[in-house]
Amino acid sequence: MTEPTTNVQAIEKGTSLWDDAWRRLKKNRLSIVGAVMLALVVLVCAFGPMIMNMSHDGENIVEDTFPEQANQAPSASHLFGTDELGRSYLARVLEGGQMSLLIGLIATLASVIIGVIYGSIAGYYGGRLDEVMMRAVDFLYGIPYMFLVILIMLMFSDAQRDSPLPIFFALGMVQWLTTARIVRGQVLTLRHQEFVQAARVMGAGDMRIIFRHILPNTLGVVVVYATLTVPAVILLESFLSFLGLGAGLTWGLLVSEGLSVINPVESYWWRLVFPSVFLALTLFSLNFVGDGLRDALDPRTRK
Amino acid sequence: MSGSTYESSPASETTTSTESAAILRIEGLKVHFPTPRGTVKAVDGIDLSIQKGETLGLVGESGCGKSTVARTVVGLVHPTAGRIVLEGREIQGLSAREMRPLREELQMVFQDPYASLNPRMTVASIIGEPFLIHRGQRDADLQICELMSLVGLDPSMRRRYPHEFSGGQRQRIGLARALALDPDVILLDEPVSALDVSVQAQVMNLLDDLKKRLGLTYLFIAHNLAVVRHMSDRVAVMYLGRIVELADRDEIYANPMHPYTEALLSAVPVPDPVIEATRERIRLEGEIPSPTETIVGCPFRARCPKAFDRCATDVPALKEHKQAHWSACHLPEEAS
Amino acid sequence: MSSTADTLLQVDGLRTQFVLDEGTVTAVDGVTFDVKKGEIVGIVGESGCGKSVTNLSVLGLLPKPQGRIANGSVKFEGRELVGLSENELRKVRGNNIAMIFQDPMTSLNPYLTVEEQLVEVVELHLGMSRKDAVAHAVKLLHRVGISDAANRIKSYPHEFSGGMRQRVMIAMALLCDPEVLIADEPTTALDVTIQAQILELLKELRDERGMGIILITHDLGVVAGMCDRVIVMYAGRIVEQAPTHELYASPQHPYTQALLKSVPRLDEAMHEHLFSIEGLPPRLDKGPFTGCTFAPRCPQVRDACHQGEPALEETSPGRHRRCVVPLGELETLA
Repeated sequence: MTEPTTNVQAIEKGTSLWDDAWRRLKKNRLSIVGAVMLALVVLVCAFGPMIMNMSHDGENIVEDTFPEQANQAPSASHLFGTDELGRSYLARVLEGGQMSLLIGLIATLASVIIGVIYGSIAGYYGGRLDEVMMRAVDFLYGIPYMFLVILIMLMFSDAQRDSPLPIFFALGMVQWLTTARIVRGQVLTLRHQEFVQAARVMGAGDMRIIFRHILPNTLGVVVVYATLTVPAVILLESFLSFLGLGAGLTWGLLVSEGLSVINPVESYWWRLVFPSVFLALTLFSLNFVGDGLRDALDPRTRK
Repeated sequence: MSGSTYESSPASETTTSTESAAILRIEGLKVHFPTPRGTVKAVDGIDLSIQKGETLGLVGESGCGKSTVARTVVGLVHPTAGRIVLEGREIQGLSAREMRPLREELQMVFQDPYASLNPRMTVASIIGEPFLIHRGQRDADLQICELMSLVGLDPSMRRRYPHEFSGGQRQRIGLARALALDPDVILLDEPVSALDVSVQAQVMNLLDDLKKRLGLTYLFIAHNLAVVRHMSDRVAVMYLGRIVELADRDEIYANPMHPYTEALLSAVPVPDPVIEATRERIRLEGEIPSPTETIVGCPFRARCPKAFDRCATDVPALKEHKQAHWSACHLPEEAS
Repeated sequence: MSSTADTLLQVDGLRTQFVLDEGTVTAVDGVTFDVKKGEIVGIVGESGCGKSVTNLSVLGLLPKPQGRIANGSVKFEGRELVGLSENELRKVRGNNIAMIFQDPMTSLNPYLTVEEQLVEVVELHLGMSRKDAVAHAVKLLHRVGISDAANRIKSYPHEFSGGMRQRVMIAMALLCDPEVLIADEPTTALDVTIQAQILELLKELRDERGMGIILITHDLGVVAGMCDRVIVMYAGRIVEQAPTHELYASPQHPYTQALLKSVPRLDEAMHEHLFSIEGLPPRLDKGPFTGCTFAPRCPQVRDACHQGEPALEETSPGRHRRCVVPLGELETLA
């Protein structure tokens, strides 16, 4: 191997499978629309309340009450109307969005981290360990998830439940099961692929094989599943809000409050419609993005 | 094959005469897998030795255990019994850690050029990985480029991904990876079977060149007898986990001794319609028995056109019937 | 290529394209050939040369919606198949043109017994009673060499070995007594000794039934022993077509010459180096091409090769080639 190499400097850049997927994703109109909508919702929720506060010097627009303005219908001064304490409903919907999105994100992240680690250990080492680990997952699956979440929530004191941490924890604990199963299945097939055996023949250790060779190849599936987990988590939190176990001010809470003030005598429709629209918009967008990602990352759609 | 005695095996036979030259020796190797349907005897007592600088061809039909031999030698599969000796050191059953330093001497090239490269890694990181693992070398750009030119790839393509290459180019990448640590022995598991004819010829020539330039030793596994003939110095034929014939290349193709080898050779189609029209084929009835079956007598007996009484009772041992020509068959003894 | 009473299948100027996101790829271009009664026609070429796409076009099995026949005609016994409705095509596929593939496992349903799959075809196409259909299926399984067919028919596909599964596939293809059988790499996944058995069987069936067979393969040895005529394809085009003996004795296209030269073979003395064709086949998505598609790899390339694509010309009755180098100037490879 002594012959001079000519063009060490010249490099042709390749297109990775991620580049490829990105190119395909860009062609999928629906998922691009979804991504744009999602970005808008996130931006508005993140910065909306802050900006509104700035114009109300010193006041907290979300929490401060103005009883004289209670239950106003949408108008120029209150775009989304007000609630029974006269609070700006626009600000409350956006603030609730912050928490809903945060829950979706953090609970999904937790479920992905736990699920990937758990699933890859079970799939990679296989045998008895795999057996025990997956039976545990089956067992947890067997318990109705609502029951599980409520059980976990009840383990925390009322004071603790004022912070959103218990709900992150509870939702993450429920959601990782499917991630673990998916990752384990992927790892199980990848483990026998020739490139993994080639790495072993190369002398690569277990950690290197798992993190360099196996996990990157499961990432596509995990990403797709994660985008579909976010809306699931947000929805789950909404159900908990109905049961009074929610994480404070979220879209779920607003919807459930809005529902309770709908009656034949006097209907405060804006209290139901606005948070519902935001919730639905977010869920749709996430699902579109998830579907687009799945098509883009699935090698079978490639010719 | 219970009482396989090493004294009369081809592995030790060759080593007694040229002790220093045998770079890889396999003795009494058995690989059995327990399955719900019974024990699969993938490899059932084989002896082989490969001299330095030699190419030993290992042929046989699918399921004969030839790939399992290679996978056992590199430690992907644990042997049930037997010894594997690489450059004087026993390597069977070593842990991954104990095996690691030996990987620099022993490498493997896999069959499927699509499955054997990690699709998420660039060619540079695939070929550079051995440097990282064994020498902790993160920047091996120069070596990577040298290796790529060595196997006939343009180094400017090193930031590309496997899916951007054709089958033949991918097989070259796999070869470059195997060559990275400058090994002495390379196990080639069907390295050209997945390639098109014109590309197959390119890769075979490359393998030949590299062997001469780098002084490599090959175990060349394939099912195509014409390809094996072209690549090998000596050829071993496997059937149902055992070696049924072993001889120098020219000898085994000119004077096959075992009826199975004869049948295999006669079944290979020749690209010449004139020959094909007049050729007599030895027709083998039936198919290879399942490896879980317990077979009394010669494993080939059920399909053998020349089977006789003794084949039903005695397992023929691999014996040197002619100078350096080994065969596991009762016929030569019957004839004499 | 005049059609005679014997002509079963006539493919004329076939051009098949795939419309993909990246643009339109012409996978098969100007393919013309015919198949007569009792004849085995081989189509050889390397992967991606269009031999399988040709076969799928004939059968009307191109992947929808990307694949389409852009031009040309496919006639079965004089009847045009291009443009037929899916229903009519299905009838043709069942009764007149049958096929077998490389991997029998993917064309058999793993959840149904062989009996259920075979009988379904018979009932559908021949309208036999269940009992007759089973008897018919057993008879054919027996014919293709499955012993104890009456019992084995109750098995699931995975209970058969690879060679036996291919026999089941052949039996299935024969159920409706087709006039043409298209065999796409039927023995590539099989061991040599099993390959020899299956090829022998195909020949016998041809002799018995007078079927026309299209044998698609990459193996020049298989072609030599099986086919009456050979079509060599490269980059979606026919580069040479000739009676088998003539093609092997005196190939008239540099690609055919080189292909024959690069196969390692058992019947010849060994050479130090195998002949090999440098470079790679062109990527069809990089087309259309201006000159001869083989020119970049051709050892006998000349200026004229880059000026427009050579036409498929008839050099003698039944012999066609697509090359600008005049026959007299064509060098044979040493």
